[in-house]
Amino acid sequence: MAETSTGIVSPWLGEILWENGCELHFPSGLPGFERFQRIVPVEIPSQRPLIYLQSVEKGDVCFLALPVLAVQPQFELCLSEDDRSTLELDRFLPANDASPALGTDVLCLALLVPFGKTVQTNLDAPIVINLHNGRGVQAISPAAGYWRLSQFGGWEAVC
Amino acid sequence: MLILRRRVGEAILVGSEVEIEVIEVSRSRVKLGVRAPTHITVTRKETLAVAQENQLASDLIASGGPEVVGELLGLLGTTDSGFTTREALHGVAGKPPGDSPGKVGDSGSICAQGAPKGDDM
Repeated sequence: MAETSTGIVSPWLGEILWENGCELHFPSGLPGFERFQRIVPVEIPSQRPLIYLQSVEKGDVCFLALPVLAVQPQFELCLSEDDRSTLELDRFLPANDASPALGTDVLCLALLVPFGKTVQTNLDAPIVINLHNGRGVQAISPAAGYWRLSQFGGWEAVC
Repeated sequence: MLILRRRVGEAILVGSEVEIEVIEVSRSRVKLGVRAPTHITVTRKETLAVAQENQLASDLIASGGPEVVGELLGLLGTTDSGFTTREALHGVAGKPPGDSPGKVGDSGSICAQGAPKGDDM
């Protein structure tokens, strides 16, 4: 079967190519970016654990993210029923298991927001990706609060 | 603030174009149905703050480019998150991590690789 590749040119990442089926689908987009529903995650080996969430539909829409566990190793995911439904999680989880496993069932990413000379992230609104089907959602619920990257390294909770 | 009591099935009108109906009531939550024209955005209140943050987040790379990323990497140092994003994505797909710069190699993998313009790392 011939591979089908698609691509986009990003002002910052250059030309990005990926195979069909590698895109993430965000049925609701992201808050503020509702019409951008197709995203491809881009990893540059020399820049791990950073990950770029590049819009497939618009080259200059791109977010920088980190796995939430890199920010808060004790992070616990809280998902609303609506978000679970959007992710179609219940199709893949055992009936008696309500909690998806991070890294196995879902990937949780924290979007990085500029804050002065550093960055901050809101762990009350992680990007959650169902690893079984590539569906994604920004799950908003009060959970872990804001965290800021210290200029000396390490993440600090913001009161 | 106008406070109204409604039962399941009853509705509230906001202006002439927006109707909010009580669909279901449970002990701790109310399910609401909203009918509104497409030019009116309907969203949860807490979503608005996140939308504003996302706008800032989308400007992070735009405003700083590779320099921002370089500074971030310096602050992050060697962060051990227990697994890399790529391992998580490939682990579920059943494919071992690979390194194919510039293109996603294995079908089933959902992580593209690329190199930023001007990246000399």
